[in-house]
Amino acid sequence: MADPKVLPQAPAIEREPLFSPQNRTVLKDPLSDNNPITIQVLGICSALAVTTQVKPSLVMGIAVIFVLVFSNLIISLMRNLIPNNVRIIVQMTVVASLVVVVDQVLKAYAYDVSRQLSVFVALIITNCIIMGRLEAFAMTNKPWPSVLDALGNGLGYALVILAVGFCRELFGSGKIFGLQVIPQALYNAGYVDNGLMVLAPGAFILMGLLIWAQRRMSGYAEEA
Amino acid sequence: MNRSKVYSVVFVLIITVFWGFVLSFAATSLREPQQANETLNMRTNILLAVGLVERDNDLGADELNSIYEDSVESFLVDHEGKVIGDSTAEGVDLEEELENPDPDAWRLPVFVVTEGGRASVYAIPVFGKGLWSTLYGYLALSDDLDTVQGITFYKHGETAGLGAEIEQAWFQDNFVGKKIFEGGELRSIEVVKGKVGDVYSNPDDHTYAVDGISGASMTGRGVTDLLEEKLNIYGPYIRRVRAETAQGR
Repeated sequence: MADPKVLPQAPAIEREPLFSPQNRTVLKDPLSDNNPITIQVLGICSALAVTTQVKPSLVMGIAVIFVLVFSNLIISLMRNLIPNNVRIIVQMTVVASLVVVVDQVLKAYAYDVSRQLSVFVALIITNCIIMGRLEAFAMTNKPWPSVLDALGNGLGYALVILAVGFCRELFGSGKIFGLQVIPQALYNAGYVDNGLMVLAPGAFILMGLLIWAQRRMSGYAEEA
Repeated sequence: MNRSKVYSVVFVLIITVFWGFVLSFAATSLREPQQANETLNMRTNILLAVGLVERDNDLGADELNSIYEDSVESFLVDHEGKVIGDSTAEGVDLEEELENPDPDAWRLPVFVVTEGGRASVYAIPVFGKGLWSTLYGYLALSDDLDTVQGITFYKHGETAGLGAEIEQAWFQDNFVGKKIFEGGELRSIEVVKGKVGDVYSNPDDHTYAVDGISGASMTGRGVTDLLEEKLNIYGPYIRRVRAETAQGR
């Protein structure tokens, strides 16, 4: 840090510390109290589709975090230049381009994972969380808080889909990360995998339970 | 903030051109590794289908390429089953060929593994619609051109955990040892809804059916249809070789 005495005093620009209490809230809030999935109920579509197993959930979480952080950053940097009447189009262009880049990179350097996620990488474009954050946060905030906001929301999304993926893979096929965790002895004793878990209704039920548990803990209630 | 219409148009134009440039750059600079991945994926799947490599092997790209180049030969046949002389199936796409409305122009790829100068395993590309997407794979038949040696699916856009299970070992292994001919007639193989034992009480039928994937009946039906369709297209060639082998014995 430079000596404060050397700094010119005149334009009293107060520099906010990188992790000021306000910025910490921006990062932490979406992890639980304002979670994009369990509180705002956004991004449900992809959360249902990729969560049959843990591994695609993990890669999807990482991809969404990447796209969200960079689109929030880019939109925040341009926020004073974007004409209001075409802002959604500009946001879409940025998000779509980033998603295509992610898709191309995965195809070139993580071929297996890209095949496993198939169309769902491209569908990140339509993930409401991303457009939601751009519109609600990045358009009116500085770049650094926007990055933190994106990180928080991306992690909040990733945590929830990982939890759902974990339950669905464990109860639906007795595995975690493709490794058998429920011992054969249990199957011999009459245990069967819950077929409902691998189907969409299983995901809906789990997601509903998760939303209930989350809101119970945080005391959040939707206004009637 | 309100700005002139001209500003909006120019702004959007700049954004579009800029991102267009970024995307073309990404696509062209990543093309080579992507194509290498696709070729390798195709070759690996042929090797898997014919049983030359094991699933979950830790062979590198170079090793897989050299195994493929050493042991797999390919050629083209026409729709009447005649081998097109001095041809290679490399770079020939069955899907593109079949788009041609004139069957006389079709060039159908066949991959063979030869042992002691005789073909020991045949592999043909198969593709067809599943629930959401087109499924692409290879079907390998042993030298009697009746018994299934293996099957792989390497490209599809089915639901992860449901239709995407066609990529899994348990599903593909069920095909091994099944037959496609019943008393000289092409019968193909059916992916049933549920378990084979519950659908067919006659054990003879079990030779021509495999267990379905729960929650993915439509994908299963797609597999049934694409096998039957592609086996019929290759039918003339398969019958010709079977007849020749029968005479040779």
